[in-house]
Amino acid sequence: MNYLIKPASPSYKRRRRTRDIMKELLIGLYVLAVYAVGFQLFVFGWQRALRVLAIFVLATLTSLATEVIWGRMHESDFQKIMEKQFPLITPIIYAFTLPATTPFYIVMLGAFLATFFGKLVYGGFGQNIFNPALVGRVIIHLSFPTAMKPTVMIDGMTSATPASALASANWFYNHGYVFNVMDIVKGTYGGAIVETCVIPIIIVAICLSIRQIYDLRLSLSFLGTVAVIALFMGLVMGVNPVTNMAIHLCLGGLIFGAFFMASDPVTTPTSPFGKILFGIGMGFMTMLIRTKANYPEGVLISILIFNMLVPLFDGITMGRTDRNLIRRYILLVAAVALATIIICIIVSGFEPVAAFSMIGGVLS
Amino acid sequence: MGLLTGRIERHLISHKDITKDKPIIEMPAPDRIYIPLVCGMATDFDILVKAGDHVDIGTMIARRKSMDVPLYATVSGTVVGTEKRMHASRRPQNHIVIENDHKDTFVPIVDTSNVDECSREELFERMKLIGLMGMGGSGFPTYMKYTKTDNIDTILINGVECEPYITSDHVTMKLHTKALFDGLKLMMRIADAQNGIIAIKEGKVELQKILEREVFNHPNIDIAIVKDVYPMGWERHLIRTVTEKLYDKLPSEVGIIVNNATTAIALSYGLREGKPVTHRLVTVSGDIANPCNVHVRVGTPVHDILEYCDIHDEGDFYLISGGPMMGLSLRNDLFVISSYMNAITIKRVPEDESAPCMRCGYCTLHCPQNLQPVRIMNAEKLMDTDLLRKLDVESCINCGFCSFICPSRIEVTGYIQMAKRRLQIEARKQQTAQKRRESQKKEVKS
Repeated sequence: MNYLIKPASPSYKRRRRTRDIMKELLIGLYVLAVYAVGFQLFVFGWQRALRVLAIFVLATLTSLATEVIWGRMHESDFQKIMEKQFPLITPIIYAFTLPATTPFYIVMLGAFLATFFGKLVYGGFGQNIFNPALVGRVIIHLSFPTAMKPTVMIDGMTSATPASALASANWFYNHGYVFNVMDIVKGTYGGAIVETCVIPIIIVAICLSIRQIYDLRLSLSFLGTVAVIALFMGLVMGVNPVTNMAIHLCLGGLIFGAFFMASDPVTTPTSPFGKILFGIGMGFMTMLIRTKANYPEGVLISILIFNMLVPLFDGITMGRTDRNLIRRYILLVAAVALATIIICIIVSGFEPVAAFSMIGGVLS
Repeated sequence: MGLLTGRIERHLISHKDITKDKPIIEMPAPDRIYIPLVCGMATDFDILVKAGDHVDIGTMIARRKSMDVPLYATVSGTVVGTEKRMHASRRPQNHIVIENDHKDTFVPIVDTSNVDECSREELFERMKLIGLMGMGGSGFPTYMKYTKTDNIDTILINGVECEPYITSDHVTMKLHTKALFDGLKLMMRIADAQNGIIAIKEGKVELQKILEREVFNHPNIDIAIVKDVYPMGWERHLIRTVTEKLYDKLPSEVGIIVNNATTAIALSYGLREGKPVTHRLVTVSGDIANPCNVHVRVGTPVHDILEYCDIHDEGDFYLISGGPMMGLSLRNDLFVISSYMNAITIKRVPEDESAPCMRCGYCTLHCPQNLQPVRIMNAEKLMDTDLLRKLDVESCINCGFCSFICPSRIEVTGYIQMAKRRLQIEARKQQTAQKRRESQKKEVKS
């Protein structure tokens, strides 16, 4: 027997490793991808389905090629890349956010940018500041605004997708909105690939969270904040609050974003309190962009903005996590309430400056 | 399980079945016995014998200077002298070497007459004389817990043994049930406590049956069955689970004294028969072909035990004194068994290497002290002592849970230990600097 020395205890490790977690996440994503392709096949025909399949394959191949070339340059073999860099996750998530009509060269360019500028330049997996898939997605979104605008066919006419139609109405549902809520939930209108599989995403996310692949705290606080804000927004604006909430949750890839992009552990705070507060912040930012920026990509940009703020949120939760619990709960509730009030004030068109100047005018 | 605090405890695959029901191997005392002059972390001992002296089992051979802890010879024979050799704490320490004459002559260490009638103070003095050290692995002098017993109302016997692989407490409790209850009753008398609780893990059906049969004869003793999770054997968590009481520093704040089950058994034998702790049941387990429980003389080198149990596996191993979660790995098998060592674990060296941290926060969710190990690790890498202090590193209990849970196989606990050491060195530096400043001031004044 030969004895080696181990500097620190313990010498006993849990079986599950990062590799296994990523494998299960990947299986979940592939199940979703198969569903998405099948859905396109049954609803829009085989040409569209092939197109979506091609988007997934092209994104994966481009991303893999980038990783392998980079790995060659840095003397890392294929096996090591697959085990340590997990190159298959990013392109799938990235491809899900694209509209089915995206030109192929843009798909490939985005996949390259996502892998290279989102992940590799920072030093690979675990070092990136931003969610890599979103980096690629946002760059091509800003570079090719017309090509990236998704369209859907309604009664033989090309029209804007439910998300962009709602975006041009500042994201609030009114009686002129032609789309049916149940069809939006089912995804039969099309749009971005993610918007066609809302229910399967929820099912897969529940399965993955039961397997403890990721922490649901962040995703649920993100979705919950958006739901609460949308509910009160509906009340303030006098539209059906429940319908407004459902539309806000289902459109713009929010559910996919909350479960698969925002909850990426690399770019989120580590403490449970930080995660929940982070989710609330992202929900608020999403609604702010949606209501004020006339823009369907609120989820993507709010996640990217909050990725930058991770050190700030880490700084809020210092020391032990079981201290000042009551104060922390109050803070969370207050954060949701404040976010709701701010968004409601904004959508109701109440202008503080005008109000102050009015008071000023009366006084003078 | 809390929304903001995480889950704290978790079931581990415990591998206890491989040694639990195996017959105990009785190992004869070796020709030479080494008694380490170590008590927990302290090594300040007065040696009371010199080379050539004859000793019997129960002859006091050393006594600790600061706290009154005597050490007894565990074999009869001749003292050879002292020797510096590797100790289980990974530091070379002084050992008293005794040449065994295999006669096992015995002198009682305490007065064993009328144990049931004598006063509380008398019992306490006798307990002090036995020189018990916490036999769960800490090596803390047991009598120290009984010095202040004004508000104590409960004695909690810790028979949880939450580390994987170890079964020595389990087997000892099964074999010496009468002594366990007797020891607990003696402890209750010394502390003037009304209640006794014996805590064991769920799933130990046989042991539970034996204890439940016995508990009928003792109206003020209860058995608490706790969940099979790590770190249930940790004092604070056990008290939190069994009595739902929280305390700041010591369990005596809430009127509880916690003792290991084997300590209670040793106390019973010590007071009734005047025996020091001469034998010890040690679990030899891990990734080896024939794991077992061995009954050995205290002071036997581990090398002899492995020879006797015929443990010869091929390959690279970690040899760990104690359980795999908190035990230290040692370079060779020359260290000896002390009275508070309950296991030797031999783990095969894993082939895989660590992956980059993905900040998943599992360590934060599982830390029983609710620390944030991943952030401590990052602060330690930056050598940021202020941040380390803010993250409250010093309340870490070294349970090893963060390293265990880490899916990237990073030695988080190692980083935390380094951080603790960094803070200690920093504090010492500040102290010396202050002293220097004060002495300079004095010089200026004079």
